[in-house]
Amino acid sequence: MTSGKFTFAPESTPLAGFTIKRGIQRGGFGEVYYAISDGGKEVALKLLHSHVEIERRGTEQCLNLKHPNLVSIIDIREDDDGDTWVVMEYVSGHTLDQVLAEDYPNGMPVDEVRSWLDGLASGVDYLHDRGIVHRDLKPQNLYRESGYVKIGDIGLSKIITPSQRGAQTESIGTIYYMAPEISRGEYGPEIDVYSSATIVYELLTGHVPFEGESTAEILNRHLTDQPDLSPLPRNLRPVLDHALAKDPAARTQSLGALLTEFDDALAGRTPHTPITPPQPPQPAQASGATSVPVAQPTEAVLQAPGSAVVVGSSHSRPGQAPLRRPRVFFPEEHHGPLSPRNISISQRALEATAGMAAAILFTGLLASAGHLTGMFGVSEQSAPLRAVAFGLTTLLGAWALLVGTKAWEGTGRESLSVRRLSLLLLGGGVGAAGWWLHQVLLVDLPPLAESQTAGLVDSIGSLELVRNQQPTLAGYVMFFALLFGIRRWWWHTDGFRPKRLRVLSLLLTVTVSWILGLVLQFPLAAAAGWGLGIAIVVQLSAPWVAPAHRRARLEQEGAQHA
Amino acid sequence: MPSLPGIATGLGAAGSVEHVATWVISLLVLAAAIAIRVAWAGRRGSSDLRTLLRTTVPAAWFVPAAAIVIAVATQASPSLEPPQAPAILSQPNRPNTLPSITGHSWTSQSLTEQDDSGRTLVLTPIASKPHATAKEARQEALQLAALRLKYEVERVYGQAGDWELSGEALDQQKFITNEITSTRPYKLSSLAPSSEMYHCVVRLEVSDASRNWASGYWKQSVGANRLKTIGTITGLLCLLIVTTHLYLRLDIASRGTHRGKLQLASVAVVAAAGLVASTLLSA
Repeated sequence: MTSGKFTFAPESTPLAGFTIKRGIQRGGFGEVYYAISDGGKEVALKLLHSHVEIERRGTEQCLNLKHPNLVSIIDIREDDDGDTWVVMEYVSGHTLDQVLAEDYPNGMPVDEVRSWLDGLASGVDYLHDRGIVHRDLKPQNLYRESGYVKIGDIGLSKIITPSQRGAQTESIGTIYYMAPEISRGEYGPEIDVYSSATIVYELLTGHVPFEGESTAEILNRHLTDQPDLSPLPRNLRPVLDHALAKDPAARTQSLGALLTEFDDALAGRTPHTPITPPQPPQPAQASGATSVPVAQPTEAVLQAPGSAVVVGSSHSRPGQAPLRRPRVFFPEEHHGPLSPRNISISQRALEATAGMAAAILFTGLLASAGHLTGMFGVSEQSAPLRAVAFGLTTLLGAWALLVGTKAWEGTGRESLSVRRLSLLLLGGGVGAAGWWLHQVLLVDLPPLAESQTAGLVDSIGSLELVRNQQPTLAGYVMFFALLFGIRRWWWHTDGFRPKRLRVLSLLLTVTVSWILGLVLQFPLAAAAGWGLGIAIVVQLSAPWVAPAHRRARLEQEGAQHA
Repeated sequence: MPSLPGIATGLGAAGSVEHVATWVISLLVLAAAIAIRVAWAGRRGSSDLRTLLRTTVPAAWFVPAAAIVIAVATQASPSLEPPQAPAILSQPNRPNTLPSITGHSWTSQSLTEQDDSGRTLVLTPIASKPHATAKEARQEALQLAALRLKYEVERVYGQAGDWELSGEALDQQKFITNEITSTRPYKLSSLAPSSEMYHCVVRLEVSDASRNWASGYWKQSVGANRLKTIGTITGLLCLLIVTTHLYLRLDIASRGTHRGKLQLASVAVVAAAGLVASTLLSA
């Protein structure tokens, strides 16, 4: 598939350790060579020409992906001239479009199609589970080697970053396989499902569902025309109809699901009935245009693997307001705290008040349990008052945390230091309120432990933290401010935290509060009690979404936001 | 702008009670402002006035509801003063003239001793006025002893709340170490015949033990009284939160169709509860 003139001749060694044998492909993003390493390994070398930083960043995201159905990326190197090379696994087999053109110009047998779909689904679902959307699935990027279907060109110009905005005015993907929502700047995993369904259609019939004289016409047909399913086997029509739905929400949600529906249809089982929601006519593209009018994405976020991964962009035409907010895609294993989400203000308020209401109940139970077990004194008359003062201070602290951290939920990783500063101040306020409560109720904290009487801090400058064995206002403020500022309380309250109640987190909070008690000469029993109490109440009270329901929650939030 | 040392001094000052509200409100407002700013920026919200108004107007009902809670809290605040710093106090009562009772020298003078721990304790006699019955004389003597101990507590720990110490309780706690009642003839007028009147003298132990016991009694009685006030305010606050939650839940469920009615109902619930709370606090 060599096209055009390559920069490097055979036997040249522009990249140390590799000898180029021949050029394979030349395109807008660079040149691909077949090369041999000094150790004798066959590799494909890709020299990046344009959008190097973007390509490099996208490739880095896929550097450690390992899957039998993906062409592996081995390394990213720079040569002496500063050019960037991507070292990839070399696949010697034929591409799917070669197979189609040479062996099946009028369509493949269904079993053969199923075989290709199986490998395609396995590899693409693996990518989706890691938050990566391929975005350029087409027969030219699919290979078969030693019986394995291999998906190539992963990680190249597939992950949009904010800095990539300027690069998106050109065509993304091949127009025959392009999902309609790409024209609106939406790049969720559904676009890969659409592309794959188009490939399956082509494999079965020998031609793509939408053809035309120009790219604009083809795109327009993707946006407005229903595919002609009559050339397909009757039992597979609902499957392809579902997978080629214009609305990504109504489309088959994954390639695994597409494969299942495909198999069900072949086995004669009732396939999933496609949901065909009303599909409003899409805005027609200017006919006669020679380039794909994919406008410039205006917003997208990417985060590294291991954290929440977001792929999305908003989209606007020149001179027009954005059509939609970004779509957000989260792989299942990354639905955790700090996942960016589109939570509405009313939803935040609802969850915050739900947490606060639950906190009343849990604090009451906690203080009652403490009182009944003699934590506040066994036979002392002031024990009930102590329990009430402890409970009210705990409740205030829990409320402050539930409200404060709810404001940040779903806003991503930014401003963590500001969060800590805010919590520090919030904790100071709670400390002052706690001190006032104890003063008003005339309740003393337990006396300092013997180990706290010598060698530790009892004042900071002119601030006296302890007087008559009791913390002063400054002592309370310092203790609660540090307790709030040190711990990552937004992890305790996030609806996507790993578990509703994490025992290790509680133990860590107790340890931190105990150390703070030692450092600030705050009574240890009270310090540990408040650390534990606030952590328990906050975690039990804060709304929690079970992992199985997070995807649905995200989609719901996204829909509400849109 | 106050200097940092100034703030620090203010925070640590013993008389910082009056600054607490200012500190609490300032810190909470600052934290809330930062949190809102971060959240707003995180959601890439627009900060233009129309957007802000559009976002906040549906929640405007919360302002009168919160104002009701604040009004009730303000009404109750005078009874929730933290203890004032100990000060030099005048004696609560002028001691009655101590009668001299033969054979009971303790009735005429105070005695300073040391307890088993080496701490000083004062044994002071307190006498009643003449009464017609021995019981009345004893009651007055015990009551005067209780006032004396209350004075000691306020001198050491400070003043807060209205409370009374029971003389009988003092006696039960063995802080009345001696007690004697005597009779003397008194002429109530020049025309009336003289009659026997009763004097009672009790001996009060003023010590760490008695002060601690009395302070515990003080904290218990004042604290329990204040607990009702704080409980009422907290209950009202909890009701406000639960009402807000229910309002939001119903408003979202009904997609804002009945927003006006829900707002009215929410304010009405909080207002009704506020009236009940205010009545309870006034009682």
